[in-house]
Amino acid sequence: MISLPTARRALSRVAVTSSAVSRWGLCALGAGLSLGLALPSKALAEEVAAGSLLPRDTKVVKLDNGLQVVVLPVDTPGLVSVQTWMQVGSGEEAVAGLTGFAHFFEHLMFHGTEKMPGDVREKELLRLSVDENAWTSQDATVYHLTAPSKNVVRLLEIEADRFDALTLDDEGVRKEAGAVYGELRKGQASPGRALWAGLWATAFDVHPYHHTTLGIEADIAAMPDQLDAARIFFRTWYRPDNATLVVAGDVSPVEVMPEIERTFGKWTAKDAPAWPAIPVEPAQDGLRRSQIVWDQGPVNPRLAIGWRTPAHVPGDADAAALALVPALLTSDIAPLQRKLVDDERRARWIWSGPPDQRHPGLLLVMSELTEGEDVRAIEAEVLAAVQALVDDDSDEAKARLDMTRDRLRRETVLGLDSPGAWGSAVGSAALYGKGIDALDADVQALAAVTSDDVQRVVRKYLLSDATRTVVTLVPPEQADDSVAAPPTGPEQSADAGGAQ
Amino acid sequence: MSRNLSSLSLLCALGLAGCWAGKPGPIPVDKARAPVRIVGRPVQGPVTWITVAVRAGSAHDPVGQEGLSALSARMLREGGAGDRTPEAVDELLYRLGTDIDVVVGKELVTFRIAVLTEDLPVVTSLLSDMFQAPGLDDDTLVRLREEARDALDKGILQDDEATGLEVLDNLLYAGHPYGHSVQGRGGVVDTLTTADVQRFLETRYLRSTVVLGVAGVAVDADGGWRADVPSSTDLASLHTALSSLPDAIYDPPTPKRVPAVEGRSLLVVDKPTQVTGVHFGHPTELHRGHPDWPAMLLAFTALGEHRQGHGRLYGELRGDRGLNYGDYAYIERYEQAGWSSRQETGTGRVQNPFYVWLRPTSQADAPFALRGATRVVEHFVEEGLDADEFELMRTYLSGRVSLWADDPGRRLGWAAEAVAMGWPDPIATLPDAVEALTLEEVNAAVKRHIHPESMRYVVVTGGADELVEQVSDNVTTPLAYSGSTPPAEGTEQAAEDADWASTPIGWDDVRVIESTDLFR
Repeated sequence: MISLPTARRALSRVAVTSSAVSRWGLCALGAGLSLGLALPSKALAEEVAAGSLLPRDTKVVKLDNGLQVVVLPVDTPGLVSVQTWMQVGSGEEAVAGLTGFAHFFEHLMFHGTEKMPGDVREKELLRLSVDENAWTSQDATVYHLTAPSKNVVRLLEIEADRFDALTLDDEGVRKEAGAVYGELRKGQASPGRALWAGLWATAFDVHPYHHTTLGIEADIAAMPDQLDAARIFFRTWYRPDNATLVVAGDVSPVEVMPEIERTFGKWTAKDAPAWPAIPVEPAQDGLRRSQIVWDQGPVNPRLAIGWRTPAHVPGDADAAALALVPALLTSDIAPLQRKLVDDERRARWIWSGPPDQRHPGLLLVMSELTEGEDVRAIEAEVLAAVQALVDDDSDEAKARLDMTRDRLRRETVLGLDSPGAWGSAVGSAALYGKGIDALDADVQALAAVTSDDVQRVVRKYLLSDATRTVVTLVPPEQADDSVAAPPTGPEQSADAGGAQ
Repeated sequence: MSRNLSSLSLLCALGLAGCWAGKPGPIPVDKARAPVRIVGRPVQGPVTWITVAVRAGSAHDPVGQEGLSALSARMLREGGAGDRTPEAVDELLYRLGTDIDVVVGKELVTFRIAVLTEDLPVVTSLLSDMFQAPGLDDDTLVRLREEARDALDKGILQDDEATGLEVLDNLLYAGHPYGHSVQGRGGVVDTLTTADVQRFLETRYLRSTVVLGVAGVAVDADGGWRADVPSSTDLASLHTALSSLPDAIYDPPTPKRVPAVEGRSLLVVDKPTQVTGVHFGHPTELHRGHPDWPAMLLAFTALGEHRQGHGRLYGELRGDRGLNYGDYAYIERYEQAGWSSRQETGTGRVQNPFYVWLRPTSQADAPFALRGATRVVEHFVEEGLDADEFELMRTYLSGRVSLWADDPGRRLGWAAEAVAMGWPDPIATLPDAVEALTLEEVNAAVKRHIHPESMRYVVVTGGADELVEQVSDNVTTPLAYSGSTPPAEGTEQAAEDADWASTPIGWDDVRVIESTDLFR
């Protein structure tokens, strides 16, 4: 079987950390979405106003322990998704020797508790017919379970138990370290992963975005001996006030919310030593460039460009305009896509991703070229297309902006088709620490983006050499001897697939 | 053993020379002339899902034109439709916030789209044109051919695990319609022309081979169109358009022979990689309509469900020994849908391999993993499930099936595939079928269909010569337990380790092939 990529679908080949429904996808619900955030005196509950795309009976509550809870009754007969979004990813790994630890810890979360050891937990979940997994990105660690909705109460009991009282022991840490090493191995033949890792390693010197979510190999090799670090990590980051619980599906919020309070309400924050401050990446002082020479078999040349962009702030006008830039640059209707892929066949695919990180990150363009094509020439084509976003005042350009805004609205409705998709949309929006306020703020900001806004952010963030990093991956015969390898080599990138 | 295969033996070994030549029988004329079959599912909400399933997957590639099925399917989506240029189709779909996904399997090609119901007039018009008057743009054909060639020459090889699985599949089905990659063959895809695509569409996309699936508000409880919903007229028009496809008679070449495997053989793929991955198995006569399918599904859920942690293989290799990222076992070629762990719909086959997938280990641990997994399978067939395991799996699976279709589009996909292939709809029928199973039936079915003494192994590794030495029957390969603590002497796991380390596989044949010689 092959899933045949159209130009647009090439995105899936390189999307490494995206959720099924992107934050911006849901943010693009259209101007009709208005969240009535009438907070009661204790600031515990929020309600969704009429006209919102979110189900009207959605309940949003902050428990006394700080856990944010969202329950969405959606029309998915007999099914429910339970997702716990921890606000910790590889972007928090500021401790030397502990790169990859957020992901490693994700694996350890399946080892059970004193009350329900791992093997007992596994059998119980089988009896409940649960589909369980997890994934880690730069900004989050997410535990997601889908199950027949009749089992939701028992599911909540089991989940709450591990988040409060996970058992960590030496043998468990050692065996799981072997599995993580295996995860590193399974991606080592992928040039796409090497390029992804090379780009971030070149663009960042001190911020943890420098390394991939899987971590550097030396740190993975040392994981068997990291029991103490695992205990500290759990106490530091796995606090209820650092998490959002989303329950979406064939459930009644009125019935489920008391069960959540009964189970997840027992989750207590633990004392922990202070975690080092996340280093701030200094301003970039010029164009950065590196090259990976690929000698692991036949490969087409590849190109990755990243522009330094600010952390995403929900509702911010620049953030909203930047979110539209990728589609304007490389979607199916973008001139660059048609020129390079369709007409001249100089690229197999080209893709762009928005800067939606919690910390200052990158707006991305990645491309696989056709055999023998010159990476510098394609780089020049991309930069010309970026310049055109500023220079092109034509009616066609304005029409593309209008179409893109409209597309995002429709895409969002179409994407919310399962309990898992609803959970992902709401959970990812909550990552920015502002609860579901982030949805409302982003929707309004996106609806207000104009051509002037797009031109403003392109001038501000994308036109200067000083914000740009270019990394290429080429076969040996196309190597440019004047370009160095990425600073720490092509480490493996994160696996969005999770623990199994 | 030979260090490298000759080009001729290579072709034979990988099943790349010639196809199975079963004799298709005629189908009744009235069936060929009947309107296209409809699968309808009522769903409330603003979205309508459409699936068009066509019995025209890669097993239906004409001999010598391998890859034509996939190329034709992509040309329908990307080559223009009616008076719409390829660019106009792209722009239309972009405006609608959607796309037409094209999935090509061995048996079926499926076209899927989810749209806002308000957009149905334009979408059904596009789909009608796509099938009735495809654009078949020449420049698009050239691009798609180049993409297929890149996929064969480079794409598969950039994933060690995909390489191993594809080589095993081609090896097991040598001389069979399943014996080449869906993308085609290197050296062949470059020769395919617009005229070839036109001919393929005219002879394979017929009333009798097409199924139209729709889920949305326009569908009534009986699967028909609702007269009170305006969009039902658009869907009826699409059905009429599809039913105007040729009524020519084409009986799909259902493979009638399950390829035989005698003894145990090993093909080592020598590839520049730092790790080692293992696949092994043999063909079976199983398919989703087979009477033993529910029993075998339950059994293999226990042995090694795809990307789940409860299987025996996973527990013994990853859980107890930390050898790798995961270990799974299958009774059909499993195609994962995107990032999820679910099976992609529209990829079922009329015959399927049993196979085991060990995710990459270090090269040092690979021989131990290979022997250990073989012992786990042998033990599984000999002893079967125990009563507790059976009860747990039966409870789990009967509820789990509903999760295979957690959105209306996927639910429609399962239903349309079942009709197109003539199988029971698994989502509707499997829970009851699983509930009705007995332990004895399950264990007997395993013995009937799985024969560990006759399996083909494929190992992808960066150290082929060393691996061949290590897996020799007179060499012992104990596990080093680097990083973790070995089991104490006298424990069950210690005894098992000793057994795994020294178990001879009993190779009848061992060969090595360079990865750059694959898929040609």
